[in-house]
Amino acid sequence: MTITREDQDGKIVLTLSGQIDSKTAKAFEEEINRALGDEQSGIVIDCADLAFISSAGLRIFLIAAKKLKPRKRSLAVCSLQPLVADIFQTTGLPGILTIFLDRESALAGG
Amino acid sequence: MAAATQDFSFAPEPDAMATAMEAFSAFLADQAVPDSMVNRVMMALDELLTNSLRHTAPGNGRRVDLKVQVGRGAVTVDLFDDGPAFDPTQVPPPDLDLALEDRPIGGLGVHLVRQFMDVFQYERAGNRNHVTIAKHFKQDDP
Repeated sequence: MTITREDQDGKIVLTLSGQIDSKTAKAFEEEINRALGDEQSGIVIDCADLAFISSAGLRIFLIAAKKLKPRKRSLAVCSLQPLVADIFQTTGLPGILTIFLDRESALAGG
Repeated sequence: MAAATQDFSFAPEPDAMATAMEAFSAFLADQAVPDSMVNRVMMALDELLTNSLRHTAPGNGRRVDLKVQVGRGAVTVDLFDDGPAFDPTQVPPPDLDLALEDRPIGGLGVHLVRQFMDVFQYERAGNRNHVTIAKHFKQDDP
């Protein structure tokens, strides 16, 4: 799993690739926490190259959403592959995260 | 095609689990299991093995054993551990309708296994937990 961070249109964009499982979730959590520490920016998580995510990773999405909501900062997720979209749907995340088809719409709407 | 089988055995520790999962994933790829199915099975296995490691203290010769079979259009995995009796198939489903503030951050793993596998069974086999998962696939799945 690799995570790259870019600052684009005043937002932090984290691009995930590979898999987020019990082994790699820690690195994802650390990167999200760094982004949360930057008080100004909304966060976009680009999942275009994310093959799958297990509950160890879903947990981090939930924690991030819980922390961001009271601060009125946005968390947008985009470019889900079919399996990851199924996993999100199955665990009720679309009701909690804002999901966009691609990065452009996430940057515009997130 | 005859069924291909492989066994993996490791101590209940995260590094040993990660090494076994890499070998397991390579075995599925060698058997021409489509990537989307490999990912599904790897996800389910990550959930179940994480639970096994949480409940099985290392030491005293305790092991986790995986037996995988690929054949007749399905991947079947039998997972054994030396932890105290625990039946994951009985874990109640999460309440996905709760508001963000009320949603617990855990409890999704077993739900994913149940939803993404075609077979999810448990038995207590002597002093071991034995979980079976299986997933059917078509060779032309992506």
